[in-house]
Amino acid sequence: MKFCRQTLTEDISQYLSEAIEEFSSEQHLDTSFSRLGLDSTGHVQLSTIVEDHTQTEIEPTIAFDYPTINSLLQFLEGKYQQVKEIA
Amino acid sequence: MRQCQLLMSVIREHAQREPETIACSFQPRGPETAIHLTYQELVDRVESRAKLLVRLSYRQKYIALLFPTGLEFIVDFLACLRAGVIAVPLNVTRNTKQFERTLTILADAKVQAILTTADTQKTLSKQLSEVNGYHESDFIWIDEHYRTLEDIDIPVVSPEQVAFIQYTSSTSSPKGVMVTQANVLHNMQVMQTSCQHPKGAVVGGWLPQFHDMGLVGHMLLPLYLAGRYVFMPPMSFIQRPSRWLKLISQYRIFCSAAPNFGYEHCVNLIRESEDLSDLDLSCWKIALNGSEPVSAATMQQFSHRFYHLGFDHNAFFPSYGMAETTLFVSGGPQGTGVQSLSLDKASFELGKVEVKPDGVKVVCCGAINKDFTVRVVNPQTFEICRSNETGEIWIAGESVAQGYLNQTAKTVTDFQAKLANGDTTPYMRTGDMGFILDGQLYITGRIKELLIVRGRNLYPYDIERTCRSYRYAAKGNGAAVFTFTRDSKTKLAAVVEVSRQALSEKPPRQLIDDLKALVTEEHEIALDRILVVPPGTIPKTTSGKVKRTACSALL
Repeated sequence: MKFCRQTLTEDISQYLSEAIEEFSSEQHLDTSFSRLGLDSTGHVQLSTIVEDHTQTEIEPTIAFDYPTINSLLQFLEGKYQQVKEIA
Repeated sequence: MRQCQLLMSVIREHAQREPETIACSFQPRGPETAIHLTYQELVDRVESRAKLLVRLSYRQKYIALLFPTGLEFIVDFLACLRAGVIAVPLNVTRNTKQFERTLTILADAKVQAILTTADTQKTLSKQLSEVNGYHESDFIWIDEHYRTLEDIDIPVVSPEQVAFIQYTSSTSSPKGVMVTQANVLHNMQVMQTSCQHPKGAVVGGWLPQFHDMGLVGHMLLPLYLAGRYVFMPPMSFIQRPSRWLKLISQYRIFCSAAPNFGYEHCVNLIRESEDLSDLDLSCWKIALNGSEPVSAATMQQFSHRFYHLGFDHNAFFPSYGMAETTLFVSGGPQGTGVQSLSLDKASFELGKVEVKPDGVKVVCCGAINKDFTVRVVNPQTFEICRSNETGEIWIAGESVAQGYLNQTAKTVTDFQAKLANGDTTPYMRTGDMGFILDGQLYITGRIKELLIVRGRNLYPYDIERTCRSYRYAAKGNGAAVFTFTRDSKTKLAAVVEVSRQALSEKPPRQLIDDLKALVTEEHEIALDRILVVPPGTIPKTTSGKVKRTACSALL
């Protein structure tokens, strides 16, 4: 599993700015995806961005469980560190 | 196929004749995760669960089925059919607001007992504890650990008995369609004759199991045909739509259905860079498209994209049907693809059908199955329309359900409508407008105010109510929700009246974001456009009803 906080933030921001008008990666790190106006298909699509980045299978519901950019990254960072420790 | 009284008797005969044939294949993730049940295994499990349900005295009682996509749902649903227990299949959701809808339905059907898995029960109990006034102990939970070892005779079930209740989508007034055992078997025969499924056909895809199209069309039909039901979780499809095509290719699926949205999802989200070159879609003879308007443009884009994988444009199978008719009413014949008519626009808007090149295109929903009597009726006078007029589609036939559970008045108006000409046949009013030409059905619009957006059936008043519940919403009937078309896509818009004070004090962006969030949380759909306006802006009828069509002029 590969993980780089900065690149992933960029990937997610890129996706959100395509999906949502007036999205700003500076202002919306802690705004929930649904408040930004992302529908359920959009939430599921976010999981594929994460999959592509980490090269691992990610639950399709991850963006519902971690509904902001910051909480999602925090979760993944924790998961990534655990993997490193085991390795 | 031999005439039989009940679907479960047909399935049990298959098990006797070919016990080792695979009946169902479920693939939760990649191909290596697939699990299968043979006809013998399926019937053994169904018999044992049916005995349990008889032992627990649920015969002729209502029982909810709350399962994640999987084999457990099939076994328990069929066990209900076998034991004469009335199944109420429902969606397991992670969203608390959606879960409240489930609770409304449980109350509407007065259901106390829930068939589920031990894992799902944990999730549901947690959700229950978050809703005011509910406790885990309000329900009887029956999971996989319940068993009976007693050898119990399963009493005979009558074909007239209600087999299951199919709930329709509105959150404010859920309606449960009562489908009998005879309805189920009849609709199986209807589908077989209309689609020309061979015996042993492989059918399936990603449709949810608790919805009519997934339940009747994907799950029950292949079991009736001694075939194989192949399926994956809907979420896997939403995540990566190419998985649907891979499933079809791998299992040589003959018939797979989706609403138009499913095909559109493939066109939009399967990347050109994705390597699908080893797929072979030539097995897919029926690409059924139903439950929302069929877009000829989407079908064309889809076949253009996947033609090189062996997909045949003529496999498209636009069709028409609904829970109220068990499922299927019209479609096909097989191999005809997407047909459309071009009509004179001016006449069309006046309700007249006049074929004219370069006019309004209307997609054909296929040949009406000969087992139905379908009439085009003037919805005000109940007179049969002339052959060149559009009207409401009325349907009679053995697949038509018995009505709505606990809603006698609505059952009479919607299921027992009589024509003005003295014909005593009771007809089901579909609420859809259309016409018939050469035995083919064409749908042109709806009377009922149902919005169909990105594959979802939405009732505007549900979303309007949510908007009105916003803390800064103006008092009165001040919200209108409707669809509009942009870039040939159907989009969802709302105009909401907000108090003058909030409008002067808050930035409009905040009001709009709040409303967006509220609607997404309650309905899991994003509004594409929101307008916040001062009270009194929304056009209304003299009786105070919102004029939704006039609202679209405000955008």
